[in-house]
Amino acid sequence: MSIIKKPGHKILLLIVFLSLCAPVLATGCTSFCANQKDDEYAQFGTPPSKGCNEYSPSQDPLREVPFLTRKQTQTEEGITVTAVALSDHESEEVFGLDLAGKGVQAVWLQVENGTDEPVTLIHVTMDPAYYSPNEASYSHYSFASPVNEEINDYFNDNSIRREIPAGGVIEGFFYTNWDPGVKYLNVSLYSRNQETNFLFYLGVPGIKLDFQRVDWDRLYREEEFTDYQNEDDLRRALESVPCCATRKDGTGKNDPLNFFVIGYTDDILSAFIRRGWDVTEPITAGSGWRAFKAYFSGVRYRTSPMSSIYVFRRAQDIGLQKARSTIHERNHLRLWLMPIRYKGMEVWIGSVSRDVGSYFTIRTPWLSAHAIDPDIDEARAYLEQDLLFSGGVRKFGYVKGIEPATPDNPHKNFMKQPWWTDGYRSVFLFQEDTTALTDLEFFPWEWTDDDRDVMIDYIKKRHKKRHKKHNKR
Amino acid sequence: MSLVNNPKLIQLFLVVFCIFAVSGCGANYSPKPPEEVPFLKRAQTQSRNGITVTAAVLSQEESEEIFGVDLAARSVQPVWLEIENRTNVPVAFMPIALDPNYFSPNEVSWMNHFKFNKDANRRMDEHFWKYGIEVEYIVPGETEKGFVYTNLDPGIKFVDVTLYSLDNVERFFFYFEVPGIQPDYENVDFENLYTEEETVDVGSEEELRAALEKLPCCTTDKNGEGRGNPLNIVLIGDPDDITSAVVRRKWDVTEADTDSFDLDLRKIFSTPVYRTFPMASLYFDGRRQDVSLQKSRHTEASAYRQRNQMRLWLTPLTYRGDSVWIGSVTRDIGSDLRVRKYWFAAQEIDPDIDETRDYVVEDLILSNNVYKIGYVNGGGKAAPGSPVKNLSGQPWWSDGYRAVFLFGEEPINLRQLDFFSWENIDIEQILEPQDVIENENNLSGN
Repeated sequence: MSIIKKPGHKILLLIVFLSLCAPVLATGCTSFCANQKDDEYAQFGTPPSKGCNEYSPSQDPLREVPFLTRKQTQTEEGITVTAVALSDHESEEVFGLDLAGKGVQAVWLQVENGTDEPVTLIHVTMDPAYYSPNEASYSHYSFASPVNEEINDYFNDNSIRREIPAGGVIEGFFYTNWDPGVKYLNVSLYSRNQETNFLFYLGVPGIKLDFQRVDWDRLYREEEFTDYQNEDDLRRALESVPCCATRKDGTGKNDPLNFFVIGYTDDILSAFIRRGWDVTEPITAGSGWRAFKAYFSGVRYRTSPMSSIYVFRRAQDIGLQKARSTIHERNHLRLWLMPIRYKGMEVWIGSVSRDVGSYFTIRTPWLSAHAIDPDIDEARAYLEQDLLFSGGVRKFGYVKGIEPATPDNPHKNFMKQPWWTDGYRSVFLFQEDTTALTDLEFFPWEWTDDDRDVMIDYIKKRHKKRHKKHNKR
Repeated sequence: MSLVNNPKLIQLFLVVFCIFAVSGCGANYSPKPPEEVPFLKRAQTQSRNGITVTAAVLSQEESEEIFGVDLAARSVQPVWLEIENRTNVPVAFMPIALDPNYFSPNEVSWMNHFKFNKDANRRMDEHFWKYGIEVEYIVPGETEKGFVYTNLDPGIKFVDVTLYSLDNVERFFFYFEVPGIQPDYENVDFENLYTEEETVDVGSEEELRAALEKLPCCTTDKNGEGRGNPLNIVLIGDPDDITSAVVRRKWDVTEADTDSFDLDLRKIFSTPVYRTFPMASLYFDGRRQDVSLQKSRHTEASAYRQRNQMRLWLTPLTYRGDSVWIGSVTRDIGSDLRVRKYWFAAQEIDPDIDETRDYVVEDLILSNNVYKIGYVNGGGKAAPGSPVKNLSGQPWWSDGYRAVFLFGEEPINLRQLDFFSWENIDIEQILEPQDVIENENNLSGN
């Protein structure tokens, strides 16, 4: 970069810079008009545009755009919070602009302060990197547009403030980072005497989710369920579950089934969502196309479909994933509802693994597959930490049920990918109230927390099974 | 054929082939055991309740030496840990607290695999795995050591080592300066900014309030003239406590701004997320900001376009012995197209300066190191209807209050937060500001 150190080249550099930027500027000028193309609106059935130089957002969003049908309300200690997360389409109808395209998602909030002192709405806990109204509108700024001011005013006038006087109400939009499927929102209200937290899990329409295609009532007949009442029976039942997923017809040995979750579905899912797990789309033409595009551009596709693997002769009921910045790497897990209950709570079996990248293969019709981390226990350890930190786990333990394997002599799944494990499966029992890590309880199975020697023996045994790394050092 | 006989073409072919051989095939893939690289001289050790933790962060060169591949280019930063358990219970190491998106050894290895060299790839897998730390319980009397493969942080790396034993959670916090960039504050000679006589220590809150109100409203140009951005925050406390709070809230340091085109353009285009991009100079007391901090949107390829900026200057004041810093916070909301003196300064700020200040108030309080907070007058005032323009011609408005933070060492929870009983931010006043500065100092033509 020595060229730019010479002052004589500054002008040259400026010319190069401007010529590089000219196309960008040109698109910037026209992008606003392009936003309002008739054919784009046609597919949503919204009114045709009024031309380039007009900005026509919804004048009365609450009446004109029926997003309030999904509103959720919670009341605690005199404060009432109502929240709705807008879908991409709804925010386009309200704001007349494609917010999602800029990574912004509007959330409508109403806070009623029934206490007798002022309360502050903390924005940072809802989204640590939220967009200020001017920032959200500035991403739609275009050089030659005559309506920049109008857009700016609209975003500001409809935004939510922070301070709520005693007995007052505030409402408006809050501009967050875009989330697909389910929006987790921690609404925190602060006054000098108290801090009140409201946790919302807001559905975001716009994509199909894999668990919506499951016919939950037909999975099992009521008499098929066995309800276990004590921990010993539960342990035996879990240990007898087959080690691995199978083919559709129930044969073969695919990925390991390496954890169980027990609890009420709401408590389980909210713990996952709090820790940033995303829901998954089923394989459809639309999701396939998005996955295809993401594969080639390498961009992040947070709800990308997962291949089906089979337990109980059916594909996973729910898939959850945590994507990194590209589609090629993610943690993912699959869950199947079991015909078992524990003290009335549902029991799910799961398979968790870490995608480390994708590779070319002839074993799938689309010629590429995700490579999994063969050290399956690494993914299990990640999940353990993640769920224990969610605060939703009340009780935790291990059961056996998978044949241990080592890197020298690994198991192989249907994609011929190796995996190895110490053979243990983690069991998580969820509850609604949050549990601090220090209050966590343990199932007295492979170890007990009462007897440290037993625990230490267990850990040493597990180290030995896992691999010879400890002996090598 | 003339093409084949063309020596230049053959040369080109050979060069391409050589590059291919070196980069694609990994023929000379030669990682080193960590013991042979002296990175441990920067290690820090903490000991508490029978647990000893030693930590060190690798620089780009060191990680390339140890692992044989350029990990920083893939945004991976290995952190060395050595955890010794001298208690009588097993202790679990939880790297998810250090980095919620940490990489597994096989994952890092896979992303660095060579295209055509199975043998080198196998050795690479083994190398990353062998020196990766075990995510496991550490039984009494044992020591666990190895690397955690974290996402790259430039400038200052905050390392949170959380250890869980059945009824106890121990957390060790480390802060490392990561070699590779030169933060702007390293150019400042803090010892000689003020002489002994210039320094004023105030002992009471009322004196402090009076002194803070007297500080200038806004930044200036180099000659001390004009009105730039409002000086709207005051940080008081031990610099270490302030630093650890802002770093924990994910503020990044900023590279020195050389006021010229002398920028490494490669960084802008090659670094996945450029989080330490230089910031323009604003002036207080005749000098450029002592410390620049920024928080950019990590998801954006052009992170520097949307970022929060914090500029801090050391003042000659001290409050009960603690240093007092005055600062200006602004939010960059995108690039604008006006031609500026330095093109990287061409970023539009959010004119609603108080929104940015409120954000910083929330953000710093959540660091749990702020003990006391309050507001004083003295910052620049302007109503939304008639904004002031700063030295780059960008408009802003504000109610004129400065947020004052007093930092402490031990984390507290939100309920323990205390308040300076000074100004009350009145809701009505925010809606209809009473005092409006005439827009006479419009310096946009400057």
